[in-house]
Amino acid sequence: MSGVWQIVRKDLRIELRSPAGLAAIFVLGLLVLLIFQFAVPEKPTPESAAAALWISFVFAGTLGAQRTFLLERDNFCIDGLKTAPIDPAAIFLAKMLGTLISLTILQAVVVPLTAVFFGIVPVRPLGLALVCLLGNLGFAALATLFASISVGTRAREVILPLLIFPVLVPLLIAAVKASTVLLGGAGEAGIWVRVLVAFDVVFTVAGWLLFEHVLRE
Amino acid sequence: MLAKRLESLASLLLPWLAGPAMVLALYLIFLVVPTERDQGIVQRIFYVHVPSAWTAFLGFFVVCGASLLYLWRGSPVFDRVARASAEVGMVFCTLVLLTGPIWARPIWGAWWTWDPRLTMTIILWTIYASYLLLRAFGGGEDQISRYAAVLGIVGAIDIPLIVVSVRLWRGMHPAVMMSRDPQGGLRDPFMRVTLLVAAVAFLLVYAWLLLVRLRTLRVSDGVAELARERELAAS
Amino acid sequence: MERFPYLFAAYTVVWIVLFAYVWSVDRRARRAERELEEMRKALDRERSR
Repeated sequence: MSGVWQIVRKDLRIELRSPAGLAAIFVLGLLVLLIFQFAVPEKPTPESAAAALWISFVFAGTLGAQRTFLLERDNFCIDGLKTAPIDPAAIFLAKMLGTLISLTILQAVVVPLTAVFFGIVPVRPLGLALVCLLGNLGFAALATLFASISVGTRAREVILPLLIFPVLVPLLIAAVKASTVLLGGAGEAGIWVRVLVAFDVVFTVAGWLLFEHVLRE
Repeated sequence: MLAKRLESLASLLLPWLAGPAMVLALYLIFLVVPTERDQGIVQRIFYVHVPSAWTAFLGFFVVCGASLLYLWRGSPVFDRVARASAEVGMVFCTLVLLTGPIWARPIWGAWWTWDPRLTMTIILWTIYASYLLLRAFGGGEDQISRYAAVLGIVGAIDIPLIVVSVRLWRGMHPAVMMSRDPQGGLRDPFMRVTLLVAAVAFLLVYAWLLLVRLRTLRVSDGVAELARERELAAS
Repeated sequence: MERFPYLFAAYTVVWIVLFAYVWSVDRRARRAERELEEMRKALDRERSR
């Protein structure tokens, strides 16, 4: 457990040294929201607000997810990680946590902006926060695993969305549907929350188990 | 040794099983099965559309199984099976997405319907595509096989989640057994038998194509091996 | 019977796709065999030197 924290702290220190990288993610989130506004010129509804929120999150988040492994590439840091006396699964958790933190900050920026741009006040803000967290978790698990794969291929930036988006679909459906309800739409969020939890559990465990095969030389 | 003999036997038998099975299926589809009441003769597309879908999904589960075995055992055979099944499965997945709209257009008026089966299949198609693209973009040898194996497993465990979430999305109860066609189950025994025969025929074709691809992959892996030996010998 | 063109189209598509794939599989199989032969010959030449 301490190993996990050490890696998370190290990554956070590196991130904070050059905040431009993180800032870029937030700006991208904002930009996607703007593009959505111009591209989908209809009256703001809970449905479209939820859609904008999650599209923005997914695009900016995919970019953000790369970073946790990109920062290991210089100075062969990745070899340092591999040979450290740490369980690969723990490294996965640490990387996932790091991504989770960055993406939570992203959400803290994007969600209020969405509410402002769409002129919608969330009916149940705590519920919405929970849904955002659950969506974030599942995304972070998937993205961390796939980012570690994409870093080892030739077309790093292109391949990551290709890997994440198809598998992400259930999470996306559930997150958008739940968010729609919590932003004031009709329907029930409960069942979607359960789907989100299932997704989170499945892919955190999967990443936990499979990461060592990605790390292995 | 046993595996090799089974494989030779299979590759000898399969074309002779798959071919006649297909002919039998076509015979049933066009000359035996009664015309469906509401949809007319277009409904016969169903007998290739559904078996293709079943084969496409089976294909990906084979990818998953082979990927698991590859990560567990490390034998390159499993890697080749995963690759081959991804390719062949993709073909059948494409068939579902081509026959679906051709069927949907005269029946529902639209080329595309977001009904659960078609939606799930197009998502499966993107998963297949990401698998094949990952293999295409690969880096080193063993590495890319392992990456692909991870993707194969992750994609397959996603499928139940896709099934549930797509059904809920369409307002269906998630646990409903996939209805055989958009208008309810098949009641006519002739229709059931025809569907079954078609499914078996498609499965045999899948198995046959899988084996042929497997053999080719083994040969080209062998060539790569020899090339490496040659380089080592030269240096 | 007016829907027959769709039925025809669907089965034609299936036939074309399967045929094209089988052709592609066959082509690659032949190429692999050829490469194997060439590799073997090249290795024999080098060994006998």
